[in-house]
Amino acid sequence: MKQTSNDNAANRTSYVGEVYSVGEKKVKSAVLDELPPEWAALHRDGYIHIHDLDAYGKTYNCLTFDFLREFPYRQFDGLTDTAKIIRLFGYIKTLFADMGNEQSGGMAFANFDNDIAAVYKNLGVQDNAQNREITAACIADLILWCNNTHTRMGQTSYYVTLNIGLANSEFARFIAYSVIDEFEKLGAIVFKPNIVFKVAQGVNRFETDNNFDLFQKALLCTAKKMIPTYLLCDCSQDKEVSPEKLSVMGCRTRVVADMFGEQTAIGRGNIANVSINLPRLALEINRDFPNESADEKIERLKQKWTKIADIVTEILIDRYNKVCSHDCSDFPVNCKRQMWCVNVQNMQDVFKHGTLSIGFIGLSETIELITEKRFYADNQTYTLALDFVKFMRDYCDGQCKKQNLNFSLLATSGELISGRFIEIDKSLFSCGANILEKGFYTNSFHVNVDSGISAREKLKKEGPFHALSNGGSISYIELNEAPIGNDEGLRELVEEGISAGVRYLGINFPLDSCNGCNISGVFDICPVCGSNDVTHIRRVSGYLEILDGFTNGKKNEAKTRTSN
Amino acid sequence: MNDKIVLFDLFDTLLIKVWFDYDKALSCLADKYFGRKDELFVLAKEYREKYMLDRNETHTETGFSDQLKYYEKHLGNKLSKPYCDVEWEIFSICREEKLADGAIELLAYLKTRGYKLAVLSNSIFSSATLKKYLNGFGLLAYFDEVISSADILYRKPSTKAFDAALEKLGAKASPNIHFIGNKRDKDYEGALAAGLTPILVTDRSLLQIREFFEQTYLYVNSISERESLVDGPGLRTVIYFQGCKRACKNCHNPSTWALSEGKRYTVEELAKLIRNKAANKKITLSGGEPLLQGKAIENLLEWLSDFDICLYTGGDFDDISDTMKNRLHYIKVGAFDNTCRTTIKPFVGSTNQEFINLRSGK
Ligand SMILES: [Zn+2]
Repeated sequence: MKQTSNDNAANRTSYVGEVYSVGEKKVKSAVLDELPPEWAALHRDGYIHIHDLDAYGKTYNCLTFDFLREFPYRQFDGLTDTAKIIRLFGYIKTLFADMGNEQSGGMAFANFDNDIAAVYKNLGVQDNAQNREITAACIADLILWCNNTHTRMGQTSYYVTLNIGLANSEFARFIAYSVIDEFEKLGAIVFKPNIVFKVAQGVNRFETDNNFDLFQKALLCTAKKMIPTYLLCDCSQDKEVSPEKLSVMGCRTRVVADMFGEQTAIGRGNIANVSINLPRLALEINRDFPNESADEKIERLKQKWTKIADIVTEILIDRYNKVCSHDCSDFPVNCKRQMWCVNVQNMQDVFKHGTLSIGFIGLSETIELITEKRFYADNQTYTLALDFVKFMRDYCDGQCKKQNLNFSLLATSGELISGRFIEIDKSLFSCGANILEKGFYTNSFHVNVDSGISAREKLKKEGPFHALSNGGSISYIELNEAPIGNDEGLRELVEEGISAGVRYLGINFPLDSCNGCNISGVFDICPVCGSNDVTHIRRVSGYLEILDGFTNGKKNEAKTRTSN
Repeated sequence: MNDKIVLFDLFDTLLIKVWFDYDKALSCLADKYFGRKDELFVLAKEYREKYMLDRNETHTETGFSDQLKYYEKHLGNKLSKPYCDVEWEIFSICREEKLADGAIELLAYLKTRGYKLAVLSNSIFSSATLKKYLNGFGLLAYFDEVISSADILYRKPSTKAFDAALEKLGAKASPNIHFIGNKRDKDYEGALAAGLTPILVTDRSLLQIREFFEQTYLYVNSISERESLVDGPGLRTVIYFQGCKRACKNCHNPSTWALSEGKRYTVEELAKLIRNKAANKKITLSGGEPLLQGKAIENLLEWLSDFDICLYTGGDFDDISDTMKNRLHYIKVGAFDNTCRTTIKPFVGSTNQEFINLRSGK
């Protein structure tokens, strides 16, 4: 899923970006105008959100690279080890830049550590001190490239995810170590790419596992920077799948089952997704059938949802067909680099391996509207919520068979579209006011941010929903401050997550960094040097972003005011 | 569990008798007000037999002022001063008491910890007189109420006497309320029957009773609802003890300062509560200043000997007893210093503080 650019971040726009933004708006409205009016109305009226509308029918969403399948080894012939390493990392950067403009969403390495080590091995790059030093420098450089390059669409960064942790050779272990170490050393102000540490028993999860040291290092880095996040390969949903085949791409996308091949994320991605505004349906039910029981209302919710999901299915298939109607020349980088699991020729042979996802948002508000209780308040309400999500999942599984395509259920991230949904709902409904007042709908199946329940309890409540959301999901633990030095505590959370069924876990806390002395913590004025030149970093839609509370004008004014 | 109330017996509990001579009182009464000493002594005997001998069966009281009225009536002359003044004069002349060992220390401890305190005395003398007397020993300021059987007309061990005292304190009988006294029948049995928890003073000293309170009760500001990741390694349930005298600038928890606030738990109650809350058996004792409750915390550590426990103190390493150190896993020492705050050094608020793993290398 692509993220819309930050309107306040004026310093990042360029002439290309400006042209893109103007074009993007026109393309989006043209796309809507060309869709059947009923479909367009659903989007415009806020029943659904068609993600990355500008990419409709033009390209797919995200991809985990099949990096090794067609790796161009011959381009490295005759080079020294040093040159090979430098050229390899150059190749990766170019890949990100090129692919990043040919698809609308995130790019991922499923096993960055092992992939690089495998290429090294095939290129004959020796594991020695010098090569390690250059590798570490190249990794730092790659991290800075991901963090600092804002040329995608002329205005924003590339959504890169590096999954690591399963390193199966000493060199691969060094690469994983360096990814964490260099990222950590670059300080709070460097917060891209997204690094995902894959936790797996027998590999890194327990003290006796070979890569336990890497896991601990990752946890200590997370304690400082919120990154890495953790893909829990031993969770109920994924434990039967080989950890090497698992990957997080974009902010949470999960791609595993394939009707046309083996269970893997590698060389596959999501083609498109459309999210459904669940609270809207509940608001309508409450308006039209105020006196019905919760059970009757849930039945109505299922009926209403199915009606919308039927159209969403049509939209996804339409979009899929349109993407497939292109030919290889429309995807020149894909054709050249061959990052999908099969060679890119006939697009349908490629994209059929991708997923089509139906997303949902605001489960918490929906259940609260219908039952007047939070879904995690008691067993009965919780079962009701779980049952409804299971209903949506069953629908998606049914569409796999009916349509012969990889449909999946996505636990949609809230931050961007829930703002759009709730604004429209506010203008339409006066009842349910307290739910509309807060200005956003709760992320997918998440427990409300104001629940006050403990981290363990939150994971226990959210875990069972992960297993149902096979198109992707994440649970966040929100902390008040950075848990510096507390790898032990974060590991307890990871363990709790695994036993609860959580697939993907992120730790969030406010992270403010002083541009004067580089110290980080939670502050508006640096407690060490007194500077008010402070960058506030927060996780938004799965990626860390700089929070611009002020427009640039106001920020500058504030700076001028206090520095004299 | 939060009834921080203690009732005291007075004579031979807080004040220990040196001598008492009622005949001296009567002589003085005759000399100063009535004359006719022989007649007065006869009347006094008569009065005692008529009104006072069955007090221990009926548990009712007849006050000294009634006695004075009786003399006035039968001797036919009025007192030249108000009853209360005469009562105080006579009361003072016929006795001498001294403070029980540890009385001031016990009262000071209880008062500091926010207890409501009251005296409930079996006495023919009014509470006004007892108050004056207590004031002379510097005790009056500790008490919210001083109740004499002469005023309420019931005597211990009558439950009515205890209830009347509790009513004055705005409280209801509860085993959380202690009654401290030296008489087994009147104080101990009476308080027990009234639904209070009695403590019997056996050696005319209150030193051990203060010890009992210090070892039995813990005063807690709050227990973290969510596990903390910044109060030591792991997911830790934090117990914020009540009371701190340091007043550090920018303290993140000034509501823990007042010694008189907080919820009271017995060590056992708190241990059970913690066992319920902290499933992973990792806790941090913070505050406030936990070392102000060191003795009870040592007991708590014994109750939770299978726990991983961290202590946050503003004091120094040497302020922590060896008993405590042997049972703790981690300690954080040093007072918070606002001038050297840190967000980088794990588990401390300012760089002068030290976080120490007591088990490392073991
Ligand atoms: Zn600074």
